[in-house]
Amino acid sequence: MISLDFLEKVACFSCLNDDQLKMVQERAEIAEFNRGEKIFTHGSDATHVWIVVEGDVELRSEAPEGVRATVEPAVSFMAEANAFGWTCFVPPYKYQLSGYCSSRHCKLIKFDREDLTELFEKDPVIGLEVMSYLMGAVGQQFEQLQDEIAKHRGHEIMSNW
Amino acid sequence: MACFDWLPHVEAFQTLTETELKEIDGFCREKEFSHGDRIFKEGDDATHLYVVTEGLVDLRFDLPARETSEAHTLSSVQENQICGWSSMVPPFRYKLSAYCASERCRVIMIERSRFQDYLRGYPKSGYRVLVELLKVVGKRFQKLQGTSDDAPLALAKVTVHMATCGIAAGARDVMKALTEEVSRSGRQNVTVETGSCLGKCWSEPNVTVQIHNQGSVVYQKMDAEKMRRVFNEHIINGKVQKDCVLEEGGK
Repeated sequence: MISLDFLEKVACFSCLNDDQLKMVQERAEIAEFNRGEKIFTHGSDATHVWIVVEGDVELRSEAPEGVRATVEPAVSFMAEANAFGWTCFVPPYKYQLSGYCSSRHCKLIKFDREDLTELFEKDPVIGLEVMSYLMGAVGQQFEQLQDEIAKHRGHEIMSNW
Repeated sequence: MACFDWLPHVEAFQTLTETELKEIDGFCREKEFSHGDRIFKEGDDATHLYVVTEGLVDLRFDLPARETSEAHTLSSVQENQICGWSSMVPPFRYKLSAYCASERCRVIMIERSRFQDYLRGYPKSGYRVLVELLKVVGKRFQKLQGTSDDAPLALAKVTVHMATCGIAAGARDVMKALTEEVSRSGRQNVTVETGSCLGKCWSEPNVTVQIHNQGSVVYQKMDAEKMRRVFNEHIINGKVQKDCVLEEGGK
């Protein structure tokens, strides 16, 4: 079973007390992968949130050619205590990247979206903490995209002056 | 209409009870703006979350030493929609400026600090508000991703082919209708040009529409009425008018 000490290291759970962490702990499942194995596929239904316990995970954009991906880099790496797959709470509830095990072996915690939703409704303080964290993460990504578009459009306007 | 009457219609508050909405009403106030007024400014401390209750609000980026215009608009927010959600995300600074884009706008201003205290103090409501707010932001994010290269945000070039054959077929009337529509819309991101014969005189008057990062569309047998429709439906709303198309897809 995953320790409370470990869960406390995960940013979105860092404000929770031990009783709340225990409720989170009860819903954690362990999943293990070997190098190169796919964890989830870009564009598929986002059903789980994932947290790295051991090893490394590579998140890679595999959008069909011509389809704009997120502003996330084409490749990013997740190490211990990093959480990913939060798009399961954000429309259109699809993974925005593919996940692969990029170390010899990786051990992950996975949380079922429905289990977490049930927990958040049962204890809304946990729900509020996690949703606040998520709002910040999604909001920053959105603002990054706005910046990127504004920069591009602003450059065009200035060039046409 | 008082703030309280509007709150149940707000996209992020629809799951709240009357009692919960009354609490939120305690730290809301209404304000009215006229066309061109700035509602909040990019970079300022995001002290309020806004709900548009009347009119249209443009969210625009500012450029140094340049007056704001529609060409700077990244998205628009209408009745019952929220803007200024940077007030919910660290570092709590507005990332765009908001301007009244209709003759007048009315907004509800929700004080950030008291709203956040409320969310913390009533976690059950707070959780529900954040779930809904996250859906709103997620959908806007998706829309922004999808439309960032599309009309009406993108720059558009419209060429009216005005060689002798085109003029003989009525291209002057088409050009007149186009310039009237551009002027009426106030859009500054549309360039109008004249062009030569495409070698397909039987299909004149021709008009080519090119929207940034998309293939060009050549329209055939245009008249003033069709031109107005193409302007409003294709250039403004991004819907190609298939019944008038001669060729599509060239870069």
